[in-house]
Amino acid sequence: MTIVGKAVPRSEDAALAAGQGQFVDDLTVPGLLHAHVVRSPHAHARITAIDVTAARAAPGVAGVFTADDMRDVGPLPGPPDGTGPALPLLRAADDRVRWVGEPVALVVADSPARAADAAELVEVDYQPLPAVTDPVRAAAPDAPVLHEGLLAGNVCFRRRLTCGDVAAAFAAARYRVGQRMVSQRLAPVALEPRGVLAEPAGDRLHVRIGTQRPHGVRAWLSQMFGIPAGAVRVTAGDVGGGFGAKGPLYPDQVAVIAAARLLGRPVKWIEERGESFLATTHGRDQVADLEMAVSADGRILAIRGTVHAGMGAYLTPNAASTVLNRMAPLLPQTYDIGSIDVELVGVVANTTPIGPYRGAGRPEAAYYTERLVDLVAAETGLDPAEVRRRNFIPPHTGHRTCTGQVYDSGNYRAVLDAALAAAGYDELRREQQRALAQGRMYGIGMCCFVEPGGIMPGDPGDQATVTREPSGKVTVAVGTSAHGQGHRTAFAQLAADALGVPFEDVTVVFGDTAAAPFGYGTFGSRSAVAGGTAVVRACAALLAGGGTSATATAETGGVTFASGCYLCVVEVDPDTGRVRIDRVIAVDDCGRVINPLLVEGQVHGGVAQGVGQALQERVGYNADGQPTSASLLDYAVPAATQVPFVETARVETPSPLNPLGVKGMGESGTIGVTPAIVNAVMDALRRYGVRHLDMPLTAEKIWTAIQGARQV
Amino acid sequence: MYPAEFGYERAGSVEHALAVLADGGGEVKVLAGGQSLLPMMKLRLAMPELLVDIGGLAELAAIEVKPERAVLGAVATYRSLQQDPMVGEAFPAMADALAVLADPQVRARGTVGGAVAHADPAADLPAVLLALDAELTVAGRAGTRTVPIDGFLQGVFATDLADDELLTRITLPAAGRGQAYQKFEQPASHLPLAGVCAAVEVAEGVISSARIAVTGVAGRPFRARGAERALAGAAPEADAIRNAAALVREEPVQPLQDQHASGPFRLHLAGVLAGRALQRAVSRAVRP
Repeated sequence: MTIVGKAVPRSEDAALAAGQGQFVDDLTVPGLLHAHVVRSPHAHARITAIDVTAARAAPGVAGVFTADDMRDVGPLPGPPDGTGPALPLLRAADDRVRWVGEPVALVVADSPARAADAAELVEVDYQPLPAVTDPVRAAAPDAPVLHEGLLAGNVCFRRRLTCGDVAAAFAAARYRVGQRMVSQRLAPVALEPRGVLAEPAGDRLHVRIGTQRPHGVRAWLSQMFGIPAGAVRVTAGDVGGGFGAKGPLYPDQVAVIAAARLLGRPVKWIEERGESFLATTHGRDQVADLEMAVSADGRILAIRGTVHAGMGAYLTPNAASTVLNRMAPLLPQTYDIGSIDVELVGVVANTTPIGPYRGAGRPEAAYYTERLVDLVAAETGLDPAEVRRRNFIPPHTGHRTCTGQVYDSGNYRAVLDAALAAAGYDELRREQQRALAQGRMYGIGMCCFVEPGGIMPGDPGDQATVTREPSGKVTVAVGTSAHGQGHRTAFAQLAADALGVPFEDVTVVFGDTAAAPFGYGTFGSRSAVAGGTAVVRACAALLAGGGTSATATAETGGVTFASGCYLCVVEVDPDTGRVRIDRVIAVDDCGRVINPLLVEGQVHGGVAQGVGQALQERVGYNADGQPTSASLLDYAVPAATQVPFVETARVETPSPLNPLGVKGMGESGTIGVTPAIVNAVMDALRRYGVRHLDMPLTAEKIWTAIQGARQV
Repeated sequence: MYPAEFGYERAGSVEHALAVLADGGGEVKVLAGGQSLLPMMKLRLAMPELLVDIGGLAELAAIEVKPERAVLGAVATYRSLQQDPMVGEAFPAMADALAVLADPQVRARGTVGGAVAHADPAADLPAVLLALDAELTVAGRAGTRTVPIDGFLQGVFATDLADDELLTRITLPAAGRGQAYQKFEQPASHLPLAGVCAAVEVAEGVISSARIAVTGVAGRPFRARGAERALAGAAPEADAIRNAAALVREEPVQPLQDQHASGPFRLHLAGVLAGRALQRAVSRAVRP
């Protein structure tokens, strides 16, 4: 191996930086029409009438569509049985709308401006109904009910994850440490909003769509429209970030495609930024009431409690799984905790549907556990690092948690020690003592975590096809589908080494079902493991077969568990409550590293998003269910000046589960930094008697808490 | 993000712009840098029938800094002000504000007159102009009039400007270097949750005059007169500054309140920032 492991600059960037990317909105085709979505302005209302007469007669309008025009389109891919109601496409008279931004009708015209003008002429009569947006309040018996026939009111599922003997653990515990913790609702805010360009040609269909899952979209469209998958081509092209939200297929996108088929003309729709805040899935929205049982020597014996998970007004395919299969089973994190009993309550409310958002359950689990561990430290008087040390799973190459997660390998103590060493932890604590003596509010926080990656959602696995071109150069086509990760670079490195050809001679192709073999796409930190394995296997098959082309399928031994420890140093301005992050030390163990620059890029981006959740991002609604954060003037995505410098280091514990030894790590920054920041701020506020504050830790929230404490 | 249909007319002169405004019957909006108006139109919060574009009027773009006063043309951009060394030299508080105002793209197009005429309660520059006692020149068909900025700013997006009038220039009297602007940003918009401009004159070891203007806190930028009075004649030291900063919070204003900050917190911030701005202003005033 010569180039794997090297910090090769991304092959993607020159074209993107020069504006030569091909995003959906860069594309046009002859005869193109443009769509505008009419959305509900109410959080909850009954539609008494829809009149599209004036809109249909408006200049340039080719068609106006409601649910009545799309009865032939099959249902969107829904959530697993028994978890809740699936999203409808559009609405018609007598239907209810259940969140601000829900698609009601679609207007198609010969220009985007005319479509927008005509959309204002669609007359929808709404009879407003009471709304509820908070998941805990929505679960209360007196809350306005969104759907008939759920478990109870708005509770759409209620499951329990149990292992070990929690009652005995709590009976034996010297300490009980509990806290209500909110992982607030967030908007993903990809740089590129969603979009679609549907081009029907007879019975065939070409859809260009900003997606993380081109083959998934092809399968879903084939099903919904009742046409063979072979007649559908899905092209992602360049995709400007997804963070999970470009995984699902959305009602508005399907309505645009359906309209194109009905009109027999190509139609494009590009989501506006304001729409994106309403119509693109949000993440998190959980309220956790959790408690730890702790022995006299600081050993965590058990975790119990309840987590209310907001689902939004309807369930996207993975919303329930985020809390049931991701968050809850990960509560043990890096610790040897023998007993868990958590109740998981899924709740619908008059809010944008929840979807996967960077980490999708992983950041929530790490946040709850790592906040509680710091509260254990405060309760027992032990140093937070020492509590962690006493509870770590020992170094292993295979560990089964009591919740059934099988960690592939890890050395959590080594990761923590690397973070403490990089930070100069002992000196930081001494500096903290000096700062406190001067009346400064100085805090140190950490978070140790695991990150499952490399998930294989089905069988067979993702494929790769490696072709030796007549020129001698190599084309690698792969079924994972990058939207910022740098697969062109990383997979070319893998193929260059495997085939013994120069890196520059390898071209990587993905994101087009006509050009790339089958794959599940890119999400959940899966592509290095799944796509990478497929690529090296295909290269090996090519060398063994001696032909010009070979295809191989990724066979991996299961989910990889990267780990990390992030440490933050903060100082709070006591006059204003503003938090300044002085240092972020990020230590990741993602097994073998294909390209350290790409790993660092993931860390930096993840840290930016984690800082956002910790300090400033929050999707808010008022009492009527109207969003209060539906623009970049109100929703505080961190700007460059608000993101700290990140000091990175690595520990390398290879995965035994795949030939590369790699572990997925695309969410680690978001998982690790958020609890570390909150723990650091709470460390700074502890001397003021403040035990816990919910995110985002805005200046006013902190200032108010200090005022309260000072008055005590 | 597609505005409703609108007409567009590029003004060739102030007289031309005034004629268009007079004919428009209130349905005409003046376009200068467009950094507030165009986003509002794209969101269809504003749907004017006609725009009259004064952004290209060279007669309104000039910046003239003289020892006795400075005259800023209404369509002088933030960037042109920032890049004019005379402006920063004569008005350090303006340099402070321009350095933390919006981003390079907005500064390249946004205009000083636009900031005043738009009357966003959370704009940075109006506070500086208020503390520096700016006088505004307003052109109408009947001629021009001048109005102090304190009388011009009337409330949230409300000014003394009639539908058929045009703000043409801003005149600043000469000021000492004892001035500073401090801001606490709303984290999404980067507009001030509170912003304070302090301008002090220090003579013979005492503060001979102080002007303090606060933005972001109330429906319009306001002068903190109680604090100003308390500073007059005081020694330029920490006690007096602390006392004055506390008085800023006592100003009889109705504080703004939204999802980003409560009214009391905005007032509290105004006090903190007033202390910091005064500190810096005093140190600039007494620096040899």
